[in-house]
Amino acid sequence: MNNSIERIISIDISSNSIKIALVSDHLRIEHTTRQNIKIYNEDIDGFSKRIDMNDLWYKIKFAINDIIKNHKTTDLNIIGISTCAQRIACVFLDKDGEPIYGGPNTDVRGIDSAYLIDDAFSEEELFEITAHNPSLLFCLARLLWFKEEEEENYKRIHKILMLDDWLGYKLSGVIYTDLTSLAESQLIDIKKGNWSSEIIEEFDIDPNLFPPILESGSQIGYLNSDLIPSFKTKNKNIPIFKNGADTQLSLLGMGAINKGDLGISLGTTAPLHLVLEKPYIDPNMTFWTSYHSIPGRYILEAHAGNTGELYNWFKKSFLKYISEDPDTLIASFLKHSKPGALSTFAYLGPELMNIKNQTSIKRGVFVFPPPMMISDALPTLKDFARSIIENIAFGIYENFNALKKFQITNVFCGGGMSKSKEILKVIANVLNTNLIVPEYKDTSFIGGAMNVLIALEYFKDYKTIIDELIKFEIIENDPSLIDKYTQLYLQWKNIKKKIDNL
Amino acid sequence: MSFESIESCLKEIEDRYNTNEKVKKKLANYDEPIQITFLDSNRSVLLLINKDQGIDIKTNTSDENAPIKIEFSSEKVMFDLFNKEIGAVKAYSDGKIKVVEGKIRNLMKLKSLMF
Repeated sequence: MNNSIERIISIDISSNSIKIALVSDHLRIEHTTRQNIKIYNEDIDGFSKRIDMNDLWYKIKFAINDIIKNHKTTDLNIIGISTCAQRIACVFLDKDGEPIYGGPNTDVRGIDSAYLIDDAFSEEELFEITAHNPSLLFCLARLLWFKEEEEENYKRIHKILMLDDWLGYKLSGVIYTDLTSLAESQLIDIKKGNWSSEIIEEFDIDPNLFPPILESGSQIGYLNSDLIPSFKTKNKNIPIFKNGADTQLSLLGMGAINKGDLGISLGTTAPLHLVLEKPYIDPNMTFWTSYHSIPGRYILEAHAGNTGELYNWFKKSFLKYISEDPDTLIASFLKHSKPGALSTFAYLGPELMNIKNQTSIKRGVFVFPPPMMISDALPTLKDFARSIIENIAFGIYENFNALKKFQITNVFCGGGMSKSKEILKVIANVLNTNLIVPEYKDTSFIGGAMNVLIALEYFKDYKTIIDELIKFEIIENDPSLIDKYTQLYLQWKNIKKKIDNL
Repeated sequence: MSFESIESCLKEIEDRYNTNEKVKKKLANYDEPIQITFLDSNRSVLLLINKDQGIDIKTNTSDENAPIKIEFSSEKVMFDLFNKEIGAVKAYSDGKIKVVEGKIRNLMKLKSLMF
């Protein structure tokens, strides 16, 4: 391995923001920058959403320059730029490479066109091919929406890309896709690892619209020469590495690479990914099957919902005016309160994955003892904060429990909320298991850099990188709390059954 | 056009079905009863869609066995939806519309008819 310090620029277009990091070849995150993505509604209902693609590209360029500018030394040696992006999001390009449409993971315009898919395939047939549902979420439904609603634009579509494919294209000028991105498109056959001929033929989609598929982490080319002056980099030949889905990169960065490893990404949402060696299609059509970033490995996904979104909402809505550091305040609340304090429970979203049957948006509810003359034990902000963290932990637990039948060997955690040791302790105790947590919680950055180091042959395999470069901390569960949390979960669940009918 | 009564909204549903080819195409394979209940007036409406062959709207009628049941918290919610004063997603998240029963596959087909 080369001894000089070399750097990787790691880019992640996540659900709400573009995040860029400068990572050393020893996997140290040296600098990060973040810019919000501009997403706008196209209809009064809020079903159709679009990413402002010009704004997105401008901000990516700005953020890369910011990273380079903030690096004080003059010998910045960038050995690669790594890309990844939110899943499900896709982009349709015209023949000049300009976006006709760029839609985020929250665009559900497919609600108007998914009937075409549902009329052509039974729920079982479609899930057997794609291992994903419901159809309204994915690229296929969006493509058919354009065919139905904007025929002229549909005819102009020259290439169908997932969002990370677009990022790779903008940086390198070449178009490729990868299986981690495509898994969430409903255009591929999960077991075959290729475009689904059944789906493509059924909807008469021109196969020329699809880019060639590469393995996640492949070098797709070099930084577009037009961009070199604007990025003010010394290197003239910076390789671009395309990784695909950000959650899969997070798994790498957490160290969840072996069969039986479970990775919990505590980001805007909380997917739980179990690493498999063979594809498994859930007969109940509840859990999704996708590809790990490591070729030949698969993942089974259960999803606890909008966990980080809930955490951020609580901070912004309730703590913004009383603390400049709401994360520390919440940690302090958790430290100084007891599990299930004052029987205060929250029902604000996190729960067992059940997307295919979700037909209503459930009401958010706090259940707590109200002010009454006969009792002076009243919950405070501290108890409400705890109830939210416990709601998140119970939601994760329900999914964890559902995946347990597959023999989970190790449980890894990463993502923004894993920066709080107090939150991790609650999750470890509710799950009744130890959590393995890497030093750097922005695990997609680390995963992207790992793929660069493998592709450039700095390391022979992922295990060696993890053994040599990633430090872990074990968050141990407290056995004395098992019974307490078991009882609390049952209490929470019993109330939930009633609240779900509101 | 302004919608100020349930009857005018139901007429609009009928018109959309009869005049909008896209709506009819979506419902070409659909033939299950839809029950709508307004909780403030306790009024029930039954929509009977016979694929692309016709629609029959029965007011003050309910079918306990209807595979799709939708509740509106008030009749005004339906006027607001048809007058585009509120979006369907907002009405859902505010709890003003609730799907009591129904498969997501069927509900998607009904969107263009009702929202």
